[in-house]
Amino acid sequence: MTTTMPNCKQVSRAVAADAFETANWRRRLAIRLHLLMCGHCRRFSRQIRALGVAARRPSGEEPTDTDALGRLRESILGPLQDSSDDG
Amino acid sequence: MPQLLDDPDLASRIRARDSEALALVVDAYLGQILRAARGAGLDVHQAEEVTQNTFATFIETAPRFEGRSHVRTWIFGILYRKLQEARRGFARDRRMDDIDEVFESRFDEKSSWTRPPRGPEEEFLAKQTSVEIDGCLDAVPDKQRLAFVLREIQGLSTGEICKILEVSATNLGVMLFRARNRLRECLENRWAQG
Repeated sequence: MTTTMPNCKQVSRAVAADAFETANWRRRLAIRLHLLMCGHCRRFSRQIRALGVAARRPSGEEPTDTDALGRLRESILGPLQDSSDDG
Repeated sequence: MPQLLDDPDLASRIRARDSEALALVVDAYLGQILRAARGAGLDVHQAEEVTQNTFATFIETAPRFEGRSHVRTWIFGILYRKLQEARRGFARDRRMDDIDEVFESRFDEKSSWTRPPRGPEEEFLAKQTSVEIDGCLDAVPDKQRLAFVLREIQGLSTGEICKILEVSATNLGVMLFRARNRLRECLENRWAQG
């Protein structure tokens, strides 16, 4: 086992860059182990994950945009209808 | 709906500009494209304009759609080019970025934390900060922001985002790392101010 354990900087960089997905199992295991042992990196990792959760939540300031969608749909597909009627 | 969109004949119907097939695609992705354009930082008016242009180009270039990638990838690729036209910042990500220095400054020479992350943990953070995140997102450069939005809000795979933004997996990793770090630092500063 010559694989060196990743340090805090490498682990937090990997977490924030989604490098987990492309890493091999040995690397993934090493990162997981580091996260188990290191509270700072664990906090960092959880905060990074929570950013996504929070960003997915509607902020509340945007009203339902069904009107806009209907309007857009009409202006996009309307001309298509016309041209197919023509020929 | 997803099954219809995965129909192997769909590509040829799109190429033939079959109005039913085009309507199917518009209905499936109109909302997503509008949301992505808003998430990328455009105001309501700009986002609607870019969305409309995206689909106009989709219909115009439909005969060239070969179906080698998913139709969603194709449309998001068009959106990306429209965003580039609308705002120059989408054109490229900076090679050097000051957020990299901020990140480095939090570690000692052994790469251990000297200024460890502060602030709440995930549950509290996820509940409290959706509005704050919008504010902090404005500080994220355009292309990084779009990468973050495609990944986190649209939930696309990293492979698909690489195709849309025409970047390597390594480049995308750097963009996501910078976007998330900038957001995290921004939120941490706000928590510190209390």
